[in-house]
Amino acid sequence: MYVTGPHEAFALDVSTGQEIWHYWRPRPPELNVGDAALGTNRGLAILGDKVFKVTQDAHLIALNRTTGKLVWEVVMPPKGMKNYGSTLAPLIVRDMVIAGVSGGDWPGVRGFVAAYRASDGKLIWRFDMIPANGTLAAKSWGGNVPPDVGGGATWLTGS
Amino acid sequence: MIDKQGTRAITLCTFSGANTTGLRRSWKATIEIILAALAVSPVLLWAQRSHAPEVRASEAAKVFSVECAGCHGADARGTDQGPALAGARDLRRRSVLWIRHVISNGIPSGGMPAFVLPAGELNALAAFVHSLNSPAAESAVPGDRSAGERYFVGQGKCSSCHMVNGKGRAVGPDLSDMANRLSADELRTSLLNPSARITPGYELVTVLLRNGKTVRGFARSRSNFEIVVQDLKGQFHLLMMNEASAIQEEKRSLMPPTNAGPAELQDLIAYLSRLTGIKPGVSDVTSRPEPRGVSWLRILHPRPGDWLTYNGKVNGNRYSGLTQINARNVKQLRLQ
Repeated sequence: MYVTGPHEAFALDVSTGQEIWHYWRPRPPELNVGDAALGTNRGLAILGDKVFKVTQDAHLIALNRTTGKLVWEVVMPPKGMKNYGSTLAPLIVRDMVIAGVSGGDWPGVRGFVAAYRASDGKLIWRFDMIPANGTLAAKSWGGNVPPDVGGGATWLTGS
Repeated sequence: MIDKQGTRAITLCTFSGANTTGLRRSWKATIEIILAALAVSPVLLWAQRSHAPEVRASEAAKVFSVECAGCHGADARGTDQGPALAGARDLRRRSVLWIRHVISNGIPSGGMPAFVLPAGELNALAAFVHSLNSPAAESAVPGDRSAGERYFVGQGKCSSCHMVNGKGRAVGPDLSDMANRLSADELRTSLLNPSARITPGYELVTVLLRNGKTVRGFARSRSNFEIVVQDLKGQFHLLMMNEASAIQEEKRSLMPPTNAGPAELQDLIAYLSRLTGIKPGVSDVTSRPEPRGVSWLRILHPRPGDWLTYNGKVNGNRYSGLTQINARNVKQLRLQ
């Protein structure tokens, strides 16, 4: 069985709790004090020979199931966007890993759901809960989404 | 040349500095010169970095064999005249500058003479000695990296047991960040004599069970009560110590010594010396159907007792179909 923390994952034997492997990475420095992502991680997803989890700073990582070593890593928030964390257990659908973000309490965190290809981490689609300026959905905000608006964080695994 | 109207035909010779002193120019032109110079200089710097250390490293090895091997050994492992320089943990914390100082000044009290060498050779030699102990990623390692990679996935068959950056098979240890952990010298030893250093969790054991069966594989984890063995097909077996009649530790590595010629070996080491781990971004593992393991169909239609997704099943109702504990006997549950 697999157990996770915000920056680590364990593979344990189900009957005895004996540790088979332990993956660890250092905590990123940028998260705000009190951010939920600092202390929470809701688990991982399994497909094929890989397991997938999110990290505190909203990276989605794939680990090899047998060795516990990193296979690929993608950064979920678009470039330059800050304050994003992530806590959810990703969801597997067919050959995709679907994950979201947390931190909607912080400015600028426009929540989204994104699907990545399980074999290599390529982004397949992303749906913004709060649209970016210039998109069709921004009309529902009167055409102007304030830059510090936050919300719509997608921190619970879907079904 | 930039004239007062600001037309932008910039040529390299204007950056040599001397030509421009007589010109009156606007702030804008000055900034343009600086920006363009900055754009050019990384290119020059890159050219220097990418070529000079590679050439120097093989020259340095020759200088070493002429000047140093007499006392420190041809393999830098030391002789009765001088200490080992390769695999010397004390040297690992020493900077290149410190080593350079010792080479050029000697250690009179210790019997090491001062070596007067041209500056270029001295620098290269100091970097070479440093590389004997520092992680391979920080050293200039001679060899053809692409040829090394071709050998790794091809003739050497290394991918059949090792994963690198998501490619290969996960039988033995993952090598994706090998260069951050081993020095070039340690990489060479691992290739030529794998049994010298076996990664923890990959020691070969054969467990003889009381029921007559045997399980052979890697001892991934063990305690006083149980041992988890990953057999050579990748299956994990939990074996309780009271089920086992004997555990034979094979002191040898499963990996055979690398059967490569000297040039191929050097190329392979050069390739391994650049494995510094996976960086964020889409990996170059090409898309393919998921290999054996948990499949999507099995997640969609789980067997009784499977809990293969966060909410148990894809419908997310977190219901378990197990029936050992049921509505009728649940009130009999007691703490033990």
